[in-house]
Amino acid sequence: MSENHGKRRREIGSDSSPFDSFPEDCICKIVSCTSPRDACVVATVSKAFESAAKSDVVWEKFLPPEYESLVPSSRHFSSKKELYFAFCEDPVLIDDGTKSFWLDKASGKKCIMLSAMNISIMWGDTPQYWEWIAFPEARFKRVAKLLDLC
Amino acid sequence: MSKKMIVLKSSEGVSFVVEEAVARQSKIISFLVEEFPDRELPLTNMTSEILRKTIEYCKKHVVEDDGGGDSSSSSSGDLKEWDVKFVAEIDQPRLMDLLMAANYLDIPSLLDVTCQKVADTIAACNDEKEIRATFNIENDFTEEEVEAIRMENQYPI
Repeated sequence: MSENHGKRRREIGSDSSPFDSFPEDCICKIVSCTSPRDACVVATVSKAFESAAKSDVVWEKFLPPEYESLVPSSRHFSSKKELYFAFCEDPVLIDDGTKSFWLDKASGKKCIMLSAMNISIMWGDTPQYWEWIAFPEARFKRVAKLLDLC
Repeated sequence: MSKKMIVLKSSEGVSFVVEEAVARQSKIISFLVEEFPDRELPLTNMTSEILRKTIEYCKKHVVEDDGGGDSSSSSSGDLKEWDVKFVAEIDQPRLMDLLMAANYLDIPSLLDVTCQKVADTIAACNDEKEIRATFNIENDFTEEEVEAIRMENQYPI
């Protein structure tokens, strides 16, 4: 198989970057293979990267597959990126309010906090020992308060 | 029974004779061979070097997709490993060309592995300056614009 190594489409080492000839959807695909944190760094590289790094294609990849069912119906988001940040900053209650869900900002990994309602507490149903109260600062509707030890 | 062959021609005019099943990994070629059977397909924007690499990738993948029960055919895990090695051995400018070729010829799995490799290189950079230097990207932002984008995307380091 004869080949000619000398001829290339693009002069390597010239002023042009390989990304100059890239279509935006290729740059989006590359950015979506990084992490949310990397995408934010990438946004400051150049205008082409900034445009790709805020696209819905990229941020949809960083959201969990089932994200649509987790969006509170009362809220509207103008972009997938905004939705991603909302999931990081404002945990949402899931499973009838017994679990709290949010995303880790840098990695996009799912985080879940269990409420006391989710765990089995010995004597939890005995009012003498445990009281289930509403606590204003708590994210869950009811928290367990220990009254007495036997 | 001989397999059907097709001819792909690089930008330098070098002809590559390839099994049709191999070349059909590309959705574009798959379409073209149906429209223009028995014709040589000129790929004027692909160098011989990149075309040869693309064919090498397609050859490897067509064996796996065959599923012919060949004992030597590797599992999908082995194929993944082969892909990683395949892109690791290519220098960056050629990797970018290969990514463009995968995009142009519409070979989804090759596009996936090349994009992932470029993404890994980006992720390994410490900051945007290193990314620009690595890929020879011109900074078309002012200092203020960079600062504004940074403010918008605040991340704990």
